[in-house]
Amino acid sequence: MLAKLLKHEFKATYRYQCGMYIVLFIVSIIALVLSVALEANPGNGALIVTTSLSKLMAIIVRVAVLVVTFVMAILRYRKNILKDEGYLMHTLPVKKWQLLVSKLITPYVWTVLNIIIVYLSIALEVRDIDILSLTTMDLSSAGLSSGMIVMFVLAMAVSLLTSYSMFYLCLNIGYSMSKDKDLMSFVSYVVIYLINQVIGVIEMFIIFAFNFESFSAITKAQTFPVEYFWMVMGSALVISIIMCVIYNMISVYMLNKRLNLE
Amino acid sequence: MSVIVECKDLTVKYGKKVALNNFSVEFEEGRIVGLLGPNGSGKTTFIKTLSGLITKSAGNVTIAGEKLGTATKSIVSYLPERPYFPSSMRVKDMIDFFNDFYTDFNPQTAYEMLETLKISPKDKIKALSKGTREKVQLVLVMSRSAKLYLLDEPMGGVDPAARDFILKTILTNYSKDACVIISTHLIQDVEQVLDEVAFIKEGRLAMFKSADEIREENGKSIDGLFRAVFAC
Repeated sequence: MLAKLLKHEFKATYRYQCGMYIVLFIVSIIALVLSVALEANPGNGALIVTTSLSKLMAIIVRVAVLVVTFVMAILRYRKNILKDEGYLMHTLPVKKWQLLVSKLITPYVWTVLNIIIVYLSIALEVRDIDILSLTTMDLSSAGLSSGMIVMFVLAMAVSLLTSYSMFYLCLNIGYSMSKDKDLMSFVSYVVIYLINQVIGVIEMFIIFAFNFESFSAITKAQTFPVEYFWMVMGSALVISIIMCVIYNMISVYMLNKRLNLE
Repeated sequence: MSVIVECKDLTVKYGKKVALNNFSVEFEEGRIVGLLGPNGSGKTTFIKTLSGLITKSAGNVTIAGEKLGTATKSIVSYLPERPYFPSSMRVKDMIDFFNDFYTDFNPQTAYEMLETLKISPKDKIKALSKGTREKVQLVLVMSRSAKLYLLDEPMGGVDPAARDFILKTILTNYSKDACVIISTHLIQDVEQVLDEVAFIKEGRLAMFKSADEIREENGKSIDGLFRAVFAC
C-alpha cells in the first residue's frame, strides 16, 4: 500500500515540480546566452545590465525551487491529510504510518532532485559541469576533510527529514483541537521550536563542559576547532535522528488516536 | 441476518461538547437504514466514527466483528456530505485511485454509470459543478462491493431529478448482503427504499424500528413521524 500511496503522491506533485524545473532551465539558458553575448561584446552597457538581471533571476528561481517544494509539502499535508481531502485519505485501508511516510518520502525525493537540478543549472550557466570539485577544493583548503563533508551532508539530510516531521507534527497537534486549528498549529511550532533550542543549548553545554580545557586552548590559538567537528556534528546528527523518530511516533499516535476531521 | 455494525455505549466528544452520548445500536446486513435526526443531533458524527475519521471518546464499535481500523476500512464504502476529491485530479484519476486501493472496486461499473450520467472521465474535478461532483463521488462509492455503505446526505446538493438517479444507483448497485446507512434530511425522497429507521436526538438513539412498523403503529409516514417527533 505504501508503494501505491507514493505513486499517487508523486502523480499529484510532479506537475508543479516539473514546471519549476522547466522555468529554471529557461532562465539558466537565458543567463548562459547573455553571458556568451557579453563575452563577445564586453563593453555593451545594455548587455551588462540584462546579463546581470538574468543571473539574478536565475538565482531567485533556484532559491524558489528549493523553498517551494518545502512549502508545498507542508500545505499539501494540511490539505490532503487534515482538511477535506483527508476524508478520502483516512478512509483508505492503509495504516497511518504509511500515510505519514508517503508524505515524508515524496518531498524528500523532490528535494534531492531539486539539489541536482539546481547544481546542473549552475553548471549550465557557468559552463563547467565540475563545479562541485571546485567547491570541495575550497572546503578542503579550509581544513575540512572529505569525511567531514560527507558527515555535514548527512547531518543536513537528516535535518531536512526532521524539519518535515516537525512541521507535520505541529499540524497534527493543531488539527486535533476543536477550534483555531491553524493558530494552534503555529503555537505548537513555537513550543516545539523552543524545546529544540533548549535541547541544543544543553547539548552544547555538555560538549563544552567535558572539553573545557581543550576548547580554551583552541580559543587562545585562534585555530579552527576541526578536532571537535566530529563531536559537535555527531551529537547534532544523533539528536536530529532521535527528534525525527519522536516527532513521527507522536504524529502516528495523533493520527490514530486524536484524529478529528470535524 | 448477521449483525454488521455493533455499537455499544459509544460516546464522542468535541472538546466539552458531547456529540454522541452512550449511543448503542446494532445494524444487520441486507438492510437499508435511514439515519434521521435534526441538525446537530449526531448523525454525521456517528457516520464519521464508523468511517474512522473521528476518534471515539468511549464505548465499543465493531464492523463485521472487527474493531475500527484498516480491516474495517477495506469493507466500508463512505460518502461524505462534502466534496472530498482532490480538485486537480481528473475523474479517470479518481477511478484509478479507487481501483488501486479498494480490492472490491469495479472500474467497469463506474465507467458505465458515468456514461449514463454523460460525465466524461477526462473531466477535471474542479471543472465540475457541485452537483456533478457529488454524482461522481456517489458513482465511485457505489462501484464498490462493500459490506457497509455509509452515505452522509447523498442527495444534499442535487436537483430532484438527480435524486431519483442517486436512489436508483444506490438500489441497483449495493451488494444484497451489505448494509446501507443513509443519513439525510430529505426523508420523503428516501422513505420508499428504507427497511429500518433510526432517529437520533441530542446524541442518543431516540427510536430504532422497521419502516413498516412505524407506518403500522403510528399511522404516519416516516416523514410525518419525523416532523411530529422533532417539532420545534
